[in-house]
Amino acid sequence: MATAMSHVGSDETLQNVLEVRDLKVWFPVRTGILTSLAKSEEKFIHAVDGISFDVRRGEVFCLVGESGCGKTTTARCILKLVEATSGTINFRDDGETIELCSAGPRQIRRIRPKIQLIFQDPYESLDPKHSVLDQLSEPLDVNRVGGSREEKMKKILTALSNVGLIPPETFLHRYPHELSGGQRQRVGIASSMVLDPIFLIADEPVSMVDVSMRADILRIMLDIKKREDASFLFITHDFSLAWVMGDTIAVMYSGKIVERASSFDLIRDPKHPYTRALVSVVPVPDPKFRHKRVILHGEVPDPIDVPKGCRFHPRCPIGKEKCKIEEPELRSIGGERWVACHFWQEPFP
Amino acid sequence: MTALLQVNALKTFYRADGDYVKAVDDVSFHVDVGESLGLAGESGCGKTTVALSLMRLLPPNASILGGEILYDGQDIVKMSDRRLRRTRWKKISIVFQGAMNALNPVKRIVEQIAEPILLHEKIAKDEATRRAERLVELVGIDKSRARDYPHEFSGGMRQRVMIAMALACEPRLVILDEPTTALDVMTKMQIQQLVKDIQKEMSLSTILITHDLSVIAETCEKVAIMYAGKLVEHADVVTMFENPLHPYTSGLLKGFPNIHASRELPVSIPGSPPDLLHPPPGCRFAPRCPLASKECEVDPPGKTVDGNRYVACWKR
Repeated sequence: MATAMSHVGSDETLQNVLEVRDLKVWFPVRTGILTSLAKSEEKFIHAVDGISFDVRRGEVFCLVGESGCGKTTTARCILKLVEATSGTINFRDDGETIELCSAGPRQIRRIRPKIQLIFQDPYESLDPKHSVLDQLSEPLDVNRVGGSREEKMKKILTALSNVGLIPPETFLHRYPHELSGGQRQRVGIASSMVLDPIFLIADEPVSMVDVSMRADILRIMLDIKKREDASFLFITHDFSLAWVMGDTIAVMYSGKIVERASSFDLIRDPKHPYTRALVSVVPVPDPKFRHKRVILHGEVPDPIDVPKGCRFHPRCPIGKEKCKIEEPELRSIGGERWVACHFWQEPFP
Repeated sequence: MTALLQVNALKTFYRADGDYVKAVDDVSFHVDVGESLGLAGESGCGKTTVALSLMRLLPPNASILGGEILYDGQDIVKMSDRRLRRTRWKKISIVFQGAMNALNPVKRIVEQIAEPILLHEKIAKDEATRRAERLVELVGIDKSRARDYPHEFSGGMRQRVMIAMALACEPRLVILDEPTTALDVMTKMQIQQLVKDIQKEMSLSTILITHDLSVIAETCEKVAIMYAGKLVEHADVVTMFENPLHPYTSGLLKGFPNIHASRELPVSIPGSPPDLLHPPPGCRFAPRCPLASKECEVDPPGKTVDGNRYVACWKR
């Protein structure tokens, strides 16, 4: 697979910022003394179980899936908040490549400003006792960047106006309780942006923001992408958000990527049966719109005891004998389309 | 069709610092027999307060200061506690927001469903249990799981249990407050389908409270839109989505991306909802409204348009 994707990096404009290869994150399951004596075999939660993808410079890469599929664990692993069990994550900045999984604390501290996180909940992620100025100064102080006081202030004011908090001076001394939900989320984004990151991870960034203000937050992120040529790892369960935000979408199921394609191809012409079903049930804001829905039964598998063969086979409407035995690999089916299904060409109900 | 529920000029305020938060201010709507009404609006618009008023389950600092809630012609606002106990759950029940996480962890599912039956009806315990088991099946849970505990159930299944509980005393109206908000998209669709099926089968009336207009588009016949404590528009779903009359409704509709339309970012409404302790005089949406003018400084009266649509806007 690595060879098939390496051509992407040759083009300067499409250079990869992040290359994830065969990443696994397993969490050991704690069992009681008796069970561990009786059975010597240790059990693991297979949160992320061998995924590979690239994120290009200036691209919004969406990871979509149901809760528990491993999308947030992937993000936490890139941020070094959880340890990878195996696999590599190459992060590229200014011609320099750092492998995050094996990097030491000093290396990580050096690149930390370049990879930033936009939090999900603007009500929980801001310190109620921190003014907006404190909130935005902290990342600069902690990372010892920003230079003199004047330079720092200039950075902070720019970051605030870039997220539409205008005039920025009027927001500096406000506290979170004096801000609306949309404004709080803007402050959150601004405090990630003061460090001039090139890679942003946004984990469900608008799920706690009111509908009437959601679009502005999305637009701010797309503006950042354009202006800074920054890349985003956009994590959501909502296909309609991935549709408007994503350049590329990868769908995760039970710790694996089952399909990856440009967002247009993936939404308009999904190939994997899981993607097909998910796309068919996305709510449509049009009461006259009628189309066939494929409702899957059952639940996402237990991550401790994943099904043999294809993990999706117990819920798959087109599953066959082969799917119970052999796990399908994520294969290219031409161009930038990747599907992990033995029977993706078969007719779908 | 006849109105099962008729809400007239409902006013529910919360006391705060010697003043009132005008959470629900002069709201009127009705629900017919077997009809599904979607009540939509952003957080803080008063939609949950409407639901709590209908059940008279308001917190101590809130009170209904005016209006009437007629269920089958009887005014819930004026009911004695005794009468109210006979109406709640037996006539109107509710599935609370996030309630699936409020199941008693040390009681079996079937016992928890039987609880409201025993509380509201004079029947023997095993009869109530039998009914609870039937309800478990009705909401699509396998009979063999009826004696499980809540922690053995997924979120979607716990939400099914909440629906079974709401149906326990065979009410005619069920209020569902954000019933699918915390669920995954596939589970959401399963629950939506379940509610639709049950509604048809039992000719139940429902009020679905949600901020998600696309869910209303898929499941409801009528829709009522609230903004800052006011009802701004009420119409049947198809008409409202095709031709929204209130500028807030049009704005809200533009906020939802549609995977079957072109790939465009949704559009926000500038500004944010007002503080309901001191709402702006006149139309509460005026400060954010693209059409606002001088006359909007006076509260717009609600009016009926095209026979059966309601809108509260000077521009219509």
